[in-house]
Amino acid sequence: MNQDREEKKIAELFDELKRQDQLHAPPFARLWARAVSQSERAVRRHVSLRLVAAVAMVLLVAGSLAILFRQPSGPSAPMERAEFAVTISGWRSPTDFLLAPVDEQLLRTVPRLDESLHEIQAITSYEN
Amino acid sequence: MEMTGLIDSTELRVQLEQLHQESYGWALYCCARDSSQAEDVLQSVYLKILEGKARFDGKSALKTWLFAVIRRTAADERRRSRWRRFWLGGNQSDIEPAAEPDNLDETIDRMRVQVLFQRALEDLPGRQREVLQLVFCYDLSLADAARVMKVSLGSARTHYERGKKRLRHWLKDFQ
Repeated sequence: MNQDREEKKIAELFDELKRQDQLHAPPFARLWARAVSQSERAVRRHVSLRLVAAVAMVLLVAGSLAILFRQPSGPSAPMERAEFAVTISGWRSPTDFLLAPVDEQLLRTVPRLDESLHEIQAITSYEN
Repeated sequence: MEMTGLIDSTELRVQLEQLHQESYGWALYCCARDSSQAEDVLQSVYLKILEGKARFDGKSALKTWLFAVIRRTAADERRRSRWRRFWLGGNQSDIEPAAEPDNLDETIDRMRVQVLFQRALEDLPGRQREVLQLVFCYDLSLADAARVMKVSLGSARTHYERGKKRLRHWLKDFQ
């Protein structure tokens, strides 16, 4: 019996505590409206972030494609390319002659036994 | 208010509005009686519901589910504020002591009892205080209180009995 009375008293105290707590509750509409606007802001932010990401992606892909399919800086037409190849193959270094041995002609040819010494000297003097 | 299935958003809003005062009281309790923090927590809870981060699945009463969400959100907020305090170098304790009335003699007797009762509650271990609050203040069954607290029914019952016993002792001493 006494226990029941004590429990009843405890319940009353809790009721009073609850009443006090709820007395200062902010209006539901205010908190709800704030939550709604916060949610909308979050959605807008999400959409803008997605948009920025999409634009960045497009730019990245466009840049990559531009680099991939960029035309080489040399001659473009096939004809020009062929001429360019010929020019390159015909190119000689200005100091190339310094590498050539002095008696190159002699080394390249086989001397004939019936050739006179004059002729041989003529060739070597010509080379020099 | 037993809900057996999912409810649409308009109906949910109406139900939330009906539970708003109790939700605020519970949020206030979960935030160590810090009213501005309780308001923030409740707003975050509504936001979670709006964004679908907290979804009512109808497995329990709406109130039980809502109180569990409030409790979790308040715990997250406490964790965050602990980190904030850690980084800012503050050394405030998590739970502020109850405000001491300037002059108890001038307050009405009921308020005095209430202040003392709040202090007695604060002296109880957290789980005991929590289960008593849920059962006495918010008329939750022990099973629902256990669900909100994420403990077993047996554990909730033990906390409830021990807490009640301590409050009875306090009441005897007080009277």
